[in-house]
Amino acid sequence: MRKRKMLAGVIALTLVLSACAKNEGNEGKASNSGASPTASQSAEGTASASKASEENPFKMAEPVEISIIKSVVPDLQLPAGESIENNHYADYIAEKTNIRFKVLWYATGDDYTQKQKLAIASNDLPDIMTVDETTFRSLVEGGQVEDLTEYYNKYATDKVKEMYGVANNLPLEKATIDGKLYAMPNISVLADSISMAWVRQDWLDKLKLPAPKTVDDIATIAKAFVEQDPDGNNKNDTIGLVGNNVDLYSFAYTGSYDFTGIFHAFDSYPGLWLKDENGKVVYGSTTQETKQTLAKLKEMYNNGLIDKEFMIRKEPSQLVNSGKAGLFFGPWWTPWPLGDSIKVDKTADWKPYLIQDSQGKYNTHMVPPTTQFLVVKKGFKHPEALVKHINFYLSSGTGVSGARDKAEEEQRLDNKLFQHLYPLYTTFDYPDAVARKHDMLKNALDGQIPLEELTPEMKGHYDRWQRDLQNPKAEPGDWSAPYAYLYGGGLLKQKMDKEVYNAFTATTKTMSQKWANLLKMEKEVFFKIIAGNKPVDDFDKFVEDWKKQGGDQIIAEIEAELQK
Amino acid sequence: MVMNRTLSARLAQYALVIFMILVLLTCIIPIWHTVAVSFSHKSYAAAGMVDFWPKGFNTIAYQQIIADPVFVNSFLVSVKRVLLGGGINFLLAVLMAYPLSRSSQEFRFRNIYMWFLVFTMLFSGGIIPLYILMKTLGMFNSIWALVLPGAVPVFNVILLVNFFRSIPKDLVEAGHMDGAGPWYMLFRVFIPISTPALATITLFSIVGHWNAFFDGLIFMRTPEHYPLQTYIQQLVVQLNTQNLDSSQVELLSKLSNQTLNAAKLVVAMVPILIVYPLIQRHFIHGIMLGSVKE
Repeated sequence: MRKRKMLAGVIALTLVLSACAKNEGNEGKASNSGASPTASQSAEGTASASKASEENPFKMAEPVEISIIKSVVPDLQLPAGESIENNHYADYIAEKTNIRFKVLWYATGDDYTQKQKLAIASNDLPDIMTVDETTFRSLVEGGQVEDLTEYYNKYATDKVKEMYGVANNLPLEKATIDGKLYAMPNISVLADSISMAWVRQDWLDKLKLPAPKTVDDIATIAKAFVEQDPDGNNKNDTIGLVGNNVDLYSFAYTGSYDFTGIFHAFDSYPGLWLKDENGKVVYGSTTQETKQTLAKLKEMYNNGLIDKEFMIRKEPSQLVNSGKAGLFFGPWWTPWPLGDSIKVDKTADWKPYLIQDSQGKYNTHMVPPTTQFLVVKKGFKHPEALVKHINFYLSSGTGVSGARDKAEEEQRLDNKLFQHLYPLYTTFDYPDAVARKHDMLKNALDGQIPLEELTPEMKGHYDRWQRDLQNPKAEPGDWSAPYAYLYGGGLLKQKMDKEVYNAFTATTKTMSQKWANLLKMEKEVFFKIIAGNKPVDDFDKFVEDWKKQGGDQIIAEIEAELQK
Repeated sequence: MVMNRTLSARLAQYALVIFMILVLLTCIIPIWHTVAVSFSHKSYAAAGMVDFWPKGFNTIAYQQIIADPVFVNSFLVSVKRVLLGGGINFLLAVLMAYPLSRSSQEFRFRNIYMWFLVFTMLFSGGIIPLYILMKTLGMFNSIWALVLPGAVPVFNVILLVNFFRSIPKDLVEAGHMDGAGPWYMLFRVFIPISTPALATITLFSIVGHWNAFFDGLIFMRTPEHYPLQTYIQQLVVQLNTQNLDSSQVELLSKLSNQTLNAAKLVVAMVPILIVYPLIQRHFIHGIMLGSVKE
């Protein structure tokens, strides 16, 4: 009895204690958030003063401090005395725009994403940050970000509007909810969508095979590579087409070592939401064309034309780098990872090819027109600073006073660090930027344009290529980038006959609950059809299951969203 | 020792030895492979051509590590964390375990405290409340954020409580007889005869602190404050080749530097490899034998 009383007493005490602790916590928070506005106020000075300088689209009237977060690469080498926050880029931008970026924290790759999610969930937001579409929509729904409509209309330069215009204003549409613009969206470089077949040309020549054009050519080449000892070591150790153990296809930025190019050659776009003739939404992985592709891949696998172990191949790049494989699908920038291949074997001569469908047409899916959204935290005093920052970023070559000056930047900035140090870096480029850069580099190499007209970036590649010509393939760093622009970029000039956009790129309610499972089921079935003992006709059962287990509901939700 | 010399017994003996050697190899081979990669040329490592012997032998990776201030700094953060965290864990575990090992007659609230501890082992507020708590306490970027949340290692406390309880009553009574108070009892009787248990929990908390990376990742805002494992985790994280845009390509080429990463793993392994045998000695030495005569 006494014991029980005691227990009650202790419980009561703990409750009181925890209540106290909570109070303290709240107080701490209140005083914290009370402190930050005063600190930033002093830095920002007068809010009304900015009106006075409306005519300068690039510069804030008074110095402004903006907190951001940054995703960086591991092992970044900075000049002595510089940091991610304080460096020559930051000084340059502060001088030109009066904006000082304060980096709250930075991290790498997945860790950055994880940390950002946690910060958003805890409502610990920086003043401006970059988010993906799903996060963007939930931030808007939660009222956590500023409405930018007014600021965009008032401050955005013609150049910015023109850039969005070239992308058919699709990015702006994605960032607009209920008629209000809540973010400055990036502009995707569409070249990153296209999947190319990268082939060892030296092997093709040795075996006297023509360049690939169709899926059947790919099969022929794969067969020859497996059977005819292309590396000439008298060992049966080469494989055909390379695959990976994670994805069979890509539906946004195109991946390496998957079969995206083959899917597209069958007019199949797995992973994308498609709209059929009647405006109905269809999931690309459930179409008959996808079934045909799977049948073809199964046939190829059974004939030994695809890496027998691709289902467990964690690092397919090893096959390519060690000279065991000479055929795989990848994007235009593949020469970067191929640097190790030419280092191991200088005779490796990689060439990219596009694959046609049976009618001789080129099909591809497209990267969403925008993938990143720059949002401003609700209550931040100077949302126009974001617009001005982007004005400045895109001002190169406009000739307006205060704009970015190529000559000055070349002198003051280390171009190699551009992506890493430019605050709020994201792609604001022409959708066909890679092909444009290819032209510039090619013309300069052919002597058709003077070197002074090259951008700092392309000048760097030009110099690299000159070094590589002197001493071919000696240094992967000199070979990769110019080779990617010259060959991968050159192929992008081929006009695509069919460009398929994803009809829906955010997440619906049912998707957030069921998508992971649906995707898992899809992967299992597809992998088992290709490399396991499932017959191709199991595909129809998969489509039924997919619809029953949430697919139909998701499609209904997407159709409702699209009607909005 | 009497050996059973029948044939079947000897066969069984051999089979057992071979089996144990195989188990041993599965432990050693990955480490050996990592060491081999760390001394190889970058391109051969990326091509997967290195198995158990370095190809294109060089020590560039190790030279780079020594010259890398971030790595060295992280190493120091980790050392600091282990000393501070391990010390606090040890102190609190001992000070808690001793009273909790007494019976309810001696220490009336014993069971309540015990449940209190066990409760925290089973339930937690989750990561978001912890993040908010740390933020409001202003502990971001501070070594205390890595040390204080796990200051009381409940599992270790329970281990130690059980060990203390297994100490014969006679010994305690003998101590009381000679006029030993609780402090004297703890420091002169309990701790000296508990070295195996203390060595175990110390090892647990040292290894735990040395290997922890996630708290460093979320509570430290810049890499200067990262402990070593957080820093290494950033480097060796597998990047999916899917969904990369061209601006991330450089990241990819950086990440393919397996040689350097392997070297960093090797360096990070060394301290634990040194600490293990030092502590292991105590596993055998703590003996209660002979302290009590029945």
